Amino acid sequence: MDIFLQQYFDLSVMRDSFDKVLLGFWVTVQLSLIAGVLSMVWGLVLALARGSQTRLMLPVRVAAIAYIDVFRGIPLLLVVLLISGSLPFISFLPAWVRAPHLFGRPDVYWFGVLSLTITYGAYLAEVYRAGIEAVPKGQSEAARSLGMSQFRTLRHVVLPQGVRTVVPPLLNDFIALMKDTSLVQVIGVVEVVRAGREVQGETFNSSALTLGAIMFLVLTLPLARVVDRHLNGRHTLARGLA
Amino acid sequence: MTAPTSPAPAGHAKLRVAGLHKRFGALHVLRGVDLSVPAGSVIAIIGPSGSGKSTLLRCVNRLEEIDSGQILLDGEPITTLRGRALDQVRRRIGMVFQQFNLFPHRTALDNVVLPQRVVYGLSRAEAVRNARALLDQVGLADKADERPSRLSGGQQQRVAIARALAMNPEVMLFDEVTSALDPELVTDVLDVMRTLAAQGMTMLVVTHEMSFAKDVADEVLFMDDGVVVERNVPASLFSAPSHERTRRFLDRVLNP
Repeated sequence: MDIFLQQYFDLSVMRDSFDKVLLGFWVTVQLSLIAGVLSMVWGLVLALARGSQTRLMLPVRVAAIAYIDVFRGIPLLLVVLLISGSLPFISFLPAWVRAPHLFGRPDVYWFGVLSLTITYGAYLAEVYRAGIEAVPKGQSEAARSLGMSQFRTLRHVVLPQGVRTVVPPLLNDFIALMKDTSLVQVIGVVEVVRAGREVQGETFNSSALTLGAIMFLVLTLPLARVVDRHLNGRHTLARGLA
Repeated sequence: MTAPTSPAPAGHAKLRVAGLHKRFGALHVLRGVDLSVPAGSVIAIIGPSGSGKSTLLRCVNRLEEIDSGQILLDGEPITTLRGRALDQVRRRIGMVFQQFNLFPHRTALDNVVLPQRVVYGLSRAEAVRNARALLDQVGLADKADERPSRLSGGQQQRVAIARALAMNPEVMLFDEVTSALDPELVTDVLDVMRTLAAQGMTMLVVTHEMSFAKDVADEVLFMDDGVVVERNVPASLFSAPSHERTRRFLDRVLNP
């Protein structure tokens, strides 16, 4: 028991590594927020592209479906490696894409954001699609019968309702994204797990990783509760939408 | 198939449908429908369910694509309009649905405000002023800030009528608007429609309310199996239907 406590909960290791782990966690939070917002926007674009109905948009729709299928079907880690290992060498791309250093962050940081956005955009597109398809057809018919264009019907009637119903699954995927930011360490981003590993390597003690886990929980547990509350409130919400 | 028993309409035809055919796959729902709605008149369409009444109404404002025939508004064909032109024509044709289709994420007031803002680009103040007047007209001034889910079916339907009127339509289509309502709520909705008719609104009304058709309509059309079987002024059609199918239908609904 002592061994167990010492290996995972050594307070002196936690204290000594606290600043380093917290700094890593700050990177984790940044990656999560930036990639989270970007993939919510990208996912919506993909969902709309996929849902487009006119014949003119058929190529766009097919491209969206292919994209979503591919990136939901391959591991995020693979995407991270493909992006970071290739982008710098694709010579016709502009320098700010091959080696992005926006806002003083290193290129691997942005490769991580890009990979997370590419993959989670595909997941979120499917979430949005479910929400949009759940809006009763009568809603858009009412809007169209009033003379609203297809775009305005989408913007003012369908999306506000469709997105509202999928807030819980969106938050769920955000939690998943937050945890998956740890994969970005393989290309050298020192986020919380990488920070913890470095301490583990120096001290042969895992308490810094435990500390990182605790930091995760501080954010993910309340988020999970929010999701639960939404889901419990869903029957009232559904009644409101009937 | 149609019996030209009614006198020629007095006013000019606000809305005209000619030779309308509509198929859903193998199902031939409308098989050559002709009708004319003179300006300022109320035409009621009755008939058994599945006769194509609702489909006809949905074809008139192009919610359903038609297979052949013409739809004319003020003599102008609107059958093949697309995009902006179609949106503009739809403003002139108000529609009220059986299931109300209010926007659940908006209050009663905002349901009436939103389309004015979005379609006509009115300022919020102006749209709100119109909306309040319309809600008052349908007897719901005190419910302006309620969500649809907190309103009864009859109240929701009256908000839906106010919302359609907010576009200043020249014609109103009513698609079995009282069929989803509890019996005691039907009267309020029908009263609003009576008032509207009295004010001279041109109305095409698909209904199961025979007394409303009798009292308010200038002409009643009986539809069955995708065609207008018979049309006449209500007094004649209800008391002396000239077709066997009409007689059987009226027998069933009037003496259940």
